[in-house]
Amino acid sequence: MIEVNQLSFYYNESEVPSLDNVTMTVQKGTVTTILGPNGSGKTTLLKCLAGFYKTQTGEISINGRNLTTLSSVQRSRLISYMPQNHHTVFPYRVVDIVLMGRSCHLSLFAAPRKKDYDLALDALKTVGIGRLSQRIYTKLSGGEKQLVLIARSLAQESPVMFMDEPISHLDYKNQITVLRLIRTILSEHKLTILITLHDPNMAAAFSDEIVLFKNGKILRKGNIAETITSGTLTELYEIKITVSGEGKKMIQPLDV
Amino acid sequence: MQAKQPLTSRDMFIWPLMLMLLIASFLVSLSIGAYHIPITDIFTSLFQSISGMRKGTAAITTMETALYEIRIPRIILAIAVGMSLAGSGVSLQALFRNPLIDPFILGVSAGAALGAALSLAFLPHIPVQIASFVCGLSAVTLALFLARSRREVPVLSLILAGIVVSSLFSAGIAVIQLMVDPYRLGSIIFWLMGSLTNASWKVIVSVVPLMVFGLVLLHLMRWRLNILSMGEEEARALGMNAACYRTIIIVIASLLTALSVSVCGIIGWVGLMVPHMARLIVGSEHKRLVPFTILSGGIFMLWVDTLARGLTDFEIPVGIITSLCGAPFFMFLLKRSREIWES
Repeated sequence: MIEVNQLSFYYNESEVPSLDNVTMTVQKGTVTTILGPNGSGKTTLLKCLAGFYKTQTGEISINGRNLTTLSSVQRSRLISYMPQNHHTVFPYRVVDIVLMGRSCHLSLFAAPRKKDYDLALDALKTVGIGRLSQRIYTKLSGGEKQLVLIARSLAQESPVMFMDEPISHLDYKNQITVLRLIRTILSEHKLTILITLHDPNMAAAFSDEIVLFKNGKILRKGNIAETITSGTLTELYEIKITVSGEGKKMIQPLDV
Repeated sequence: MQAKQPLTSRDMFIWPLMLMLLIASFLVSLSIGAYHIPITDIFTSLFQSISGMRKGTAAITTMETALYEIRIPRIILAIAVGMSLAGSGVSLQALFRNPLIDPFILGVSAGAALGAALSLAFLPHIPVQIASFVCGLSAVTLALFLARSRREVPVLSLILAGIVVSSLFSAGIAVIQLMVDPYRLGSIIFWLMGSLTNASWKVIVSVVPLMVFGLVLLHLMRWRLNILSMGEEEARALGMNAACYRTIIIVIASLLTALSVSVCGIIGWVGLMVPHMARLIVGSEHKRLVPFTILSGGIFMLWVDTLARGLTDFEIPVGIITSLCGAPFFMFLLKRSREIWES
């Protein structure tokens, strides 16, 4: 469970807060999606919650532990973070990338052992790409790379998972595949998952809770019915949006 | 699916093979040089010394003087320097996420060269080795200091700072070269070309233990280089304090480079070429790559130096040979790199 209380964050000398008094809770066993326009602070929020930045005010507690008191190793045993822009220079094998997730379980001078290899291969099988384990990561397609990174997060064995736009570079089918996979993992491993997305349709279809985020502030948060309405989305994106359907939501922009 | 274990069958062959190659190169290199020593004589002499069968009064022959006082120290130094430069190169390439980085990028070589030039030209009472070692490390420190902003050292700034420091120190060397007399100019130029002629047991005692220490540390941290090569943010996400580890590795790599340069001048290209050749053979994964690169560096340097002293009657500075091999190799690499590095 993630609890955030009155969190504010300023980049360096900036006068304007990037995160302004954010208070939210993410329950265990749920997928919560942060939805918001570019530059609204979604990524900044994820990075603050993952402990990359030191926040000026407010408290973050992950599974009951205050984030600021944790060392980087303790933190990554608790949280795995999947970055948005991922660029690898060296042509590593897929299994070597997944093994990196074991870093926080190994001592400084240690290298992965057989147990870690087995875990990495299991993680690859879980996401359905066990056959790719010996392939070169840099030569995979965007969708396959994203699956490898999810496998790496799994191999990290941390109860909380952050994913920054996990489907942004994928085609329609792969977007669905990855989001379905995230739901499967969630139910099998009882994780707490927080992701950012751009597509409100995808968010409505795959999330338990949604946080609408704008200018560093929470516009609205809650379940799908509470957050995905014509009014809230129009306010969020500043374009006319209509939401139809009961249960399954269908979101469309007007004036196209 | 067949699970690939940490130890593959190729691994089982490759390490003994490399060790055997190193030992064989050592022995062959012993016999080559201005003064040819047949391998059988070397075996006899080595065997006698090791087993203590030498008769106390037996005179030490010229051959044995050449063997024990000149050739063996030189070979050991060549191996140690090759290992250090290659080890330093491979770890900095990982750290800076750039396969075209060489160990001299942070200004070590220019600093060391300035130190050596100062000592050769104006400060004869300070040994060249010490002057170049101190100046080499000072140059890196300066680069780190210049690049530092808000308690962090961004990679790009660090590389730029290294280039700036290098060019500053090179300008200093040029000024010294203009000022000194032709005789001293000659010794500075010879030093800049890089050579292992200074090898002796004394030199070995002063640098090799530290080199071994640095190489062992790099070897122990080799798997972490994979993670550091993913960039700072990912390293942090995976539970590594990237800034701290990066500083540690820069310090070790600079130490190894400065030690090498201080005893044998600037021997270019080894730190760039050897890691690449190693990557072609064992792949990019650093758990295998680092030890393989270190061993290859030792063997490569040993052979290049053997050529330097065996090819002609006079000694060719080994730096010239590595540069002669290096430039064409780099062109080959650029051609090839299109397929390797493009994703």
